[in-house]
Order: sequence, then structure tokens, then C-alpha cells
Amino acid sequence: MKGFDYFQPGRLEEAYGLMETLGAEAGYIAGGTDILVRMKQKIIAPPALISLRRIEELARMGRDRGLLLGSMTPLRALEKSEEIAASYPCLSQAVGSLANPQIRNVATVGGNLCNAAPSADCAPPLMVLGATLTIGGPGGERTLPVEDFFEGPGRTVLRREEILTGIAIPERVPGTGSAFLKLGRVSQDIAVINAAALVIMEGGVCRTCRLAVGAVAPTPLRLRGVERLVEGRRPDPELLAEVERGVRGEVNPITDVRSTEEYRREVSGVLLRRALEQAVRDVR
Amino acid sequence: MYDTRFVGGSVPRPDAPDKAAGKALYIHDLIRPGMLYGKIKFSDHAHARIIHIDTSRAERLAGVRAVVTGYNTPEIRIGFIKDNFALKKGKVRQYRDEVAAVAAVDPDVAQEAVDLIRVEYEELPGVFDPEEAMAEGAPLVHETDPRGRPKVDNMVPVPWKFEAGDLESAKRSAAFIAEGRYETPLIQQSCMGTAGCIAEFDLQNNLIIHTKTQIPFLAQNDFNQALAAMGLRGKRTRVIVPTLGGSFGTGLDTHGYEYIAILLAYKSGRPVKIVLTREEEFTALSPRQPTRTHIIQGCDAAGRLAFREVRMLLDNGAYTSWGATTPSVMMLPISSLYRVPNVFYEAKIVYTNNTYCQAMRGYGNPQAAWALECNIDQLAETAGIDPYEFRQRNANVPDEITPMGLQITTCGLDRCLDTVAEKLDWKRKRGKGGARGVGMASLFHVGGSGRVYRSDGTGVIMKLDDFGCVSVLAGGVEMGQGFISALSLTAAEALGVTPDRVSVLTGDTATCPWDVGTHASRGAFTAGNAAIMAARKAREQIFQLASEHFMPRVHANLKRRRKRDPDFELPDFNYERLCDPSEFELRENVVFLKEEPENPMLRVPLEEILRAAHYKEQGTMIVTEAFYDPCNQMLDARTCRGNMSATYIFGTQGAEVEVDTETGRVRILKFVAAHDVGRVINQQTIKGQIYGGVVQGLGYALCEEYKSREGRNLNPNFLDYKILSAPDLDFPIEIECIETHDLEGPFGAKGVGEPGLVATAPAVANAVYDAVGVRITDLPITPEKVLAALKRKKERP
Ligand SMILES: Cc1cc2nc3c(=O)[nH]c(=O)nc-3n(C[C@H](O)[C@H](O)[C@H](O)COP(=O)(O)OP(=O)(O)OC[C@H]3O[C@@H](n4cnc5c(N)ncnc54)[C@H](O)[C@@H]3O)c2cc1C
Repeated sequence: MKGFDYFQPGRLEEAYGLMETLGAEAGYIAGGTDILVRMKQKIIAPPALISLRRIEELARMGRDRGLLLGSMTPLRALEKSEEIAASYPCLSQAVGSLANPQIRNVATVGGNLCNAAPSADCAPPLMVLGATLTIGGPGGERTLPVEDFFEGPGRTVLRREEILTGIAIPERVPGTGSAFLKLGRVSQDIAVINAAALVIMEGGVCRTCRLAVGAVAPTPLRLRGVERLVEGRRPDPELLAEVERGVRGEVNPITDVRSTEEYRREVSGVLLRRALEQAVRDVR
Repeated sequence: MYDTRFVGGSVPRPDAPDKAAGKALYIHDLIRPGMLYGKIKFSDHAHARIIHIDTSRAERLAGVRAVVTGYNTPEIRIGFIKDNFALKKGKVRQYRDEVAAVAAVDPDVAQEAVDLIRVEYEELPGVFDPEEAMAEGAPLVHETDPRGRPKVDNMVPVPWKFEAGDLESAKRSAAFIAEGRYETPLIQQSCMGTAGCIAEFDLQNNLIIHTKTQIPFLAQNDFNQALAAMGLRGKRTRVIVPTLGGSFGTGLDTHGYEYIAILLAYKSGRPVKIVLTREEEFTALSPRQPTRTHIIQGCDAAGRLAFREVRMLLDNGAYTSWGATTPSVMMLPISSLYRVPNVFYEAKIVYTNNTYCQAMRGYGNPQAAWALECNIDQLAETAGIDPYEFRQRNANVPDEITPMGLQITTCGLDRCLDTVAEKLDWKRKRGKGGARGVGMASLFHVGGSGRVYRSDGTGVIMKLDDFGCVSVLAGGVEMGQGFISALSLTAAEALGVTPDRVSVLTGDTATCPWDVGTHASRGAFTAGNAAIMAARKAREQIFQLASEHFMPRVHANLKRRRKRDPDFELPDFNYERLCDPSEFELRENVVFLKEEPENPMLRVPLEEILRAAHYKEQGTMIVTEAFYDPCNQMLDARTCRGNMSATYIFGTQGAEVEVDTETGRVRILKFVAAHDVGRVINQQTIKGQIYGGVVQGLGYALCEEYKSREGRNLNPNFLDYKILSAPDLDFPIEIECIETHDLEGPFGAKGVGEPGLVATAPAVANAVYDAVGVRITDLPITPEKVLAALKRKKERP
């Protein structure tokens, strides 16, 4: 790994300023569990890294009707949060399946999104939870839904100086159930496919359904077509079979060293159907 | 059966605390004064002519101390048939071919310098599939053989063929026949500690090399030859083996990087360290040979095996390591697992432009067992016999001589089979459907070393000190398997001291006695036997000394006691008496008279006898040695017959699995391993060996695969080369050691290092078949393959 300069600003403005002066190849570093790996593999060689660790406001976890997560919240904190386990089980399950405790101690939720891997485990649950992201930059702040954040493998809407500052998850409404499922080659693995489902049920009928899947397209995917199939109906075997078929029609997987296009297409249907079933069982 | 005090116990390994605390020194931790860091420039092509190597920019880089290529260094040939070179000239034959190397003051500069080397190539068509490599007109990987004679094909000149009985007539008369084609992938040994070395020269140009090896003494010979090639004939090599973080067969050959470090050290006049990165370990170290096997077996109407025909093709890669001899070990189970009178086995090894392969734990046996034990299940099904019952009917028996001339001594195969069946609840669980199933597979392997070299010897030196402590110097290598633990218990037991008095010292050719190498599960077996021999000599000498010093020491000790306690009455012994050496016994550090073992006054600590010998005029000391070379035979090159091992081991493994028929995922619910181990030396280490083997075997079964495209590795890291880790083991692994008390072994023990992973994959595959009726014939058994097979079955049931 090439040497690099390292900066630890204490405030957001300072970080934006550093990024402006350091030039195009500098990068932000959060937990470093993605970026350092890519540097060691010589995929990138930034001459300078700006750490976001000293910026206190990024590390906060708080409430404002829903849940507010600073982008620098370590995954271990999400995993250990009883509130998340109770209100947002799909997120809790996703974080619990990500890497291992050592990595989760340093890896951050913001880093997982900003890295924009199609397989990012936090993406599908945050999508189905309807999370919005707050992005700060020299020009001010903007917010957007998480599904509008990703543009392609490793690409997001972030401009160079911009920092993902926080993630807002709406309050859980009664009658909601959610679930996350992941298939890897072994238990500690990047997802071959991951899937999240959220339902809000009313009298046995699904009023709201949100489905998302990862590693089967250039970005994590909301499956709006399939969601529309589900909404207003009872989750009976017939509907579940339609969901499976629908998912297979909406995903756009590739063959790579981890799996095949055919397998991912076939099994993403299974995984989402199971996630949906589990979400329905989770309804409280 | 031996009555033992320490052998058979359950004690922590002596080397464990240092390793757990990070105190043990691996090659990564070692630093020598003035040391430089070496880095290798590997090929950019699988097959290409080298037109020009430009090292000028690397040489000019500040901090670079030496740059070597095949063009500015003497030619050093390496490998089993010397078809490989430390640095390549003329042409590259695989991506990992070493074309140049640098030594620099730190690793970053070395890397930068390597990146500055420009190599101009003319690309050549490559061949990457062993069958294609055998086809007419295939590109030649080597145009000449190692002696310079033109080559006309890609065959590695190491053919293997074994024939016994009358195959054709057995085929005609067999009642049932089953045929299958099986494949195994390349897999990487995945040692936690990557490979590396530090080479340096003293001022007389003798070489000292710290290196990761399992064969310090054969490596010493290899390196001496390299010195001769460098014009340093007659100079000496000292090999020192640091703590090893696993080796699994990677240390059975000497490697290009070691010779390159030697060349760089010689050129720079400084110690040079080369340690492979994890990526290099994947791309530039030799993995386990992949195989394609065509197997046909037949039995009579009663389910007795009639014949076995096995044809195997091995992808050698571009050069030849000792791995080319793995078919000699595959031959053992192929000729001798179960009683089968008519056998045909042929193995062809083919050059390709893939990475060249070498041995890995099991030495070919996992590949052989995969085909054999899957096909046994096929045959049992064809014959309408339960596969457990089928195996029992054909199981080997004690004192059998097999068609290959192997002389089985003890044999616990029937008990292994029964144990696995019982622990899996076979009768109740087999054939029950519901996507759950049970399967089993057995194994046969050398258990009393294996004569692959002309010598199968192992030396041990026992050195006793002033304090009754014993240094056991051994030529074997501890690489994580528990060699030190096994040897210290065996030595303590044999000598009559407590294990805390024993230190095992290994890994230095200058001080340790000669040993052919730590392979073939032979470490504990051969060194244990040598230690027993050395201990016997030491005991003779101790008792000789005791005959002179024992009674005077008793007298002195009792007088001292009376000084402290005036009421103590001196007993009426004849203190002048000279005892006969045969009257003594030594146990738990104390010498006593056999006649009166309980008499507390007739006991002298071992150290007092030793000190008495040291501190007298014309004194003496006790250092004994022994060289154990088992009574086994080298294979006859023509007939492939010979009793390779002094004893053989057996085992059966079984799995209960559940298959997710929608995702193809195989879940292990329970795993059982019953191994005939002769005798347990240390419960903890033996279980560690078997657990480790099983988990490695399950990785082979389910997920490990070295993927490449046109010779280039696609998954050179643990991100995409998947091995199992702790959270995957969410099921019980039950281990049963079957003790058969083999007379050849130290206190009855047989070798157990490799077998843990031999039968694992077929056991899983057979269980998958029982669960869902699909047979996966190429490893690993991935969800993709299972799902596709299930789909095919649905379409054409
Ligand atoms: C052994 C191992 C196992 C892993 N397993 C998994 C897994 O199972 N599932 C999974 O999804 N991931 C996995 N990962 C990947 C990684 O751990 C996660 O993606 C993690 O969440 C990344 O967070 P980080 O804080 O370490 O990011 P970093 O590496 O610090 O940053 C990642 C990228 O995001 C940018 N960035 C980070 N924070 C911000 C911010 N607030 N604003 C703007 N840009 C930012 C950085 O510049 C960088 O480009 C694994 C990694 C390792 C090493």
C-alpha cells in the first residue's frame, strides 16, 4: 500500500474545506473496512485520507419520532440496540449477518451505503424501512430517499466534497412486520443475494408492501412492480408464487466469481418470497 | 496393550500458550540485522516468449540493493524432475512464473522497483484443460524435457499404472456394475501463516536460511545443489525452521522464492527476506492437484467386490513438484480399501499452462476417496444393498495382504463403520426422504509412515541435564499438527520422566538429527519410535550410573535427614552394595529398586544420579540417539507393489444433511468421524487433528475452489476463496478414536495427521444423495450445482 496523508477534522466544514483543497483523488475514510482493502489491492491509491471519526455529530444515534442514525454509527451499535431489534428487525438481522464482530466494531452504516456495493447488507433493509439520507456539503444540506442514492457499483449521488451525515428511519406503525434474509457461500460472506421485506397489514390484507433485493443488479433494487402485486391482497400461496415469478422478472443479475446469473435470478425469487412470509409472521 | 501414565491422557499442547499469546516467532516476525526485503516480478501471461527484460529503472531506484533475472544469475533448476527454474529465461509457462526479483531496504521500495521492471513478451497460445493438452496439435508447454531432448506431447514423464488379477473376466462375471465420472477442483492449502524465508550468507559463503518447510534436511540438499550451481560447491547450508502457521503439504517441495532469496542475498551480501502476501500465496504457491476420474466397480450377487477399474487424469500445471507422486498414495485406497481382488488403476499427469500443483494433506487420497466412495454407494444401490451393509461385507480385516502387497496389521474398519452407523442412527434415518439424509464414506491411508524416498528414517537425540530435564532434539517439523505434544508425551513415557521435564527442539539442520521430512502422517509415528529407542539407551545408561551412585546417594540423603531430625534412625542398609543395573526402574523422575518400589527410603531423584555422573572424576553425561527407519518398502517402479507403510489406518466418516431444495444449499446437521488411530497419545491433540481435518474436508466438500480463467486465478483472497470458519460449524462433530493397539507404533499409535479430511467429501455427497436423490460428481457441492441437478431430475425423473 502506498503512503498517504491523513487528516482528522473535528467539524464538517473543516472536512469539506480539506476535501476542496486536497483535490480530486483524496477520499473520506470512516471505518476503513472497505477503502483500506481497496487500497491494499491497489485498486485505488489516494494521496490523502480525511477521517470522519472526530466529527462528533456524525456518530450520534437519536430519536425524532423515528430513528436518527449518524452515518458514523458503528454497525456493532446497531446490532446491540434493543430498539432496533424490536422496531426494525430487518435492519437488526442485516447488521447481524454482516462480516464478523471485529469488522462490525469499526465498520459504519454510512460507509456501507457510501461504498455502494450492490451487495451492501444495510441497503435493502433501509430501503424497505423508507429511510431518508441527509447529505451535507459546502453548499448546504439535502435529503433524499435511500433508493435514490445509488447510481451503480461503487457510485452514488454524492459529489466529491459531500458527506453522508445521517439516516432517518420513520417510526414503526402498528401492524408492521419486516425481515431480512441473506445467502452467502459460507456464513461470513458478502451476499450472493440479500433481500428485505416490510409489510403493514390490516385485517389480514397487506396495505403496504416494500421489497428490496441486493447483489442481483448494478445497485440494490426496490421491487416496485412486485410490491404492487402484493398490496391490497392476502399473502396466500397463490400470491407468494406470483411474487417469486415477479421478482425473477425484475432482477438483472450477472455471473461472477461468487455465483451465476441463472442461480441469482432463480433464488432471488425464493429469498424474497421467504422474506415476505417472515415479515408477515413478524407483524405486531 | 501398554500400561501408560501419560500417553493417552488429555493435556494442553506445550506450544499452545506462546502461539495463543502471539509470542511464537513466525517467519513474518523474524528480522536479521541489515536485512533487505525481496519482491518477485511474476509473469503477465500464461504462456509467452520473453523478448526482453528491462530492469534499468528498478536498478536506479534509491534503496534498491540487488536486481536479479534469469539472464544475470546462474541457472538453478528445481522440482521433482528438475523441469523448473528459479528465474525464467526464454519463456514463461504460467502466470506465476518468476521473471525477475529485487531486494530493497524496505518492502514498499521493493514493490515500487518491481513495478518499474518492464518485460516484453510475445504471447503464445496456451492450454488450460488437461484433456485438451493431450490432444494432437496442442501447444507444447515444454518443448524439451529436462535433459534437453525434444518433447512431442504434454505428458509428464511420471506415469502410474497398477494391475492385479484378471479385470476382464471379473467384469464379465460381475452381477452388478456401477460406473461414474468424478472431478475434484484445485484447492489452496490456506495456511494461516503465508510462506516465506530469510536467506543470508556468512563470510565463508555458507548459507543460512530460515524458511517455511516440512523437509529441512531434503531442503538442505536442494539448497546445497543451488550453491553448487552458483559456483559455491562445497559450501554448507543450514536450514532453520521458524514457527509454522500451518503447512498442509506446501512445505514438501522447495520453491522458487527460496532460491530467489538466496540469489538476492548472495548478490547483495545482506540477509534477504521474502514473505508471500496472501494474494501471492494464492497465485504463486502450488495448490492441490485437480483430478478427473473414470471409475467402474463391480460385485457379485452377494455384494462382494469383484473388480475396480480407475482411470485418472491430473492437471500438473506448468512444472512438476513432488505432487506428481500423489498417485502412488492414491493407489493405496484404490487397490486396498475393502477387499477387491481385481484392480486396474492408471493415472496420467499432463502439463498445462495452469499454476503448477503440489501435495496437500492427504497426498492424493482425498481425490481418490471422492471417486471410490461415491461410486461404492452407486454400486451398493445397483446391487440393492444398504451402503453401510455393503461396506461391512467388504471391509478389510487384520493381517490381510492386499493386491498391492500392503500388509495390514491391525484394522479397525468394521468398528469404524459400526460406530458411524450407530452415531448417525443410520437404520432409522437412512432413506427417509424429506430432504434429509445420511451418508458415509471410509478411508484407507498409510499409518506407519510411507516410504516415498529411499530412506524413511527419523533421528532423535535425547540429552539429559543436571536437573533431570530432557531435551529431545528431533528432525521433524511442528507445523501446528501437535508433533511436539505427541513427541514429548511419548519421550516422557518411554524414559520414565514427567512430561514437564521434556523439551522438544526441532527445526535446525545444524543441531537436530536427520529426518526425511514431516509428511505421510509420519511425524509422531516415526519420531515416537525413535524416541522410544533413544529412551531405552538412556535408561540403560542411567541404570548403569545408578549401579554405582544409587546406594551412596541413598546413604547421603538419609544422613542429611538425620541431621535435621535427630530422632530419625538410619536403617540398616548395605550402603557399600553395588546394585546390578537390571535391578532399577525409573518412573516419574525417580530411580528406585524394582524389588522395593514402595520403600520411600530407597528412592533417588534422577537429577541426583545425573549430577553425580557430571561431578566426578572421569565423569560422564547422558546423550543418546536413535535412528528409526520403519520396516516398509518402496514401491517397485514397474509393478507398483510394495508394503509402503509399516501399518495402515482406517476410518469412516458420516454426515447427516438437510438440503434446501429451493436454494440448493446443503446444511450439515451432524458429522461423525470414527478413526482407527492405533492408540491415542494425547486426546486433545488427536481431536484437534481430526476436527481440523473434518472442517478442511467440509470446505473441500462444500465451498473451496480455486477458480481461474485461462490460467489466471480469479479469487486470490479469502473474500472469494471460501474456507469454513467458526460460525459455519453450527452442528455437532462427534469424534470416536478406535484403538487397535498396533505393535508397530509408539505405544500402539498409528499416524493420524492427514486422514481427518480424506473421507469427508464423499460422506457429504452420499448424504445429499440420500436426502434428495441427486448425485453431485464434481466438487465442491455448491448450491448452484445442487439446484441445477434438482431441476434436471424434475424435468427427467
Ligand atoms: C472481512 C470483511 C467482511 C465484510 N463483510 C461484509 C458483509 O457481509 N456485508 C457487507 O455489506 N459488507 C461487508 N464488508 C464491507 C464493509 O465492512 C462494509 O461495507 C462497511 O459497512 C463499510 O463501512 P466503513 O465505515 O468501514 O467504510 P469505509 O471503508 O471507511 O468507507 C467506504 C467508502 O465510503 C466512503 N464513505 C464512508 N463514510 C462516508 C460518509 N459518511 N460520507 C461520504 N463518504 C463516506 C469512503 O470514502 C469509502 O469510499 C466486509 C468487509 C470486510 C473487510
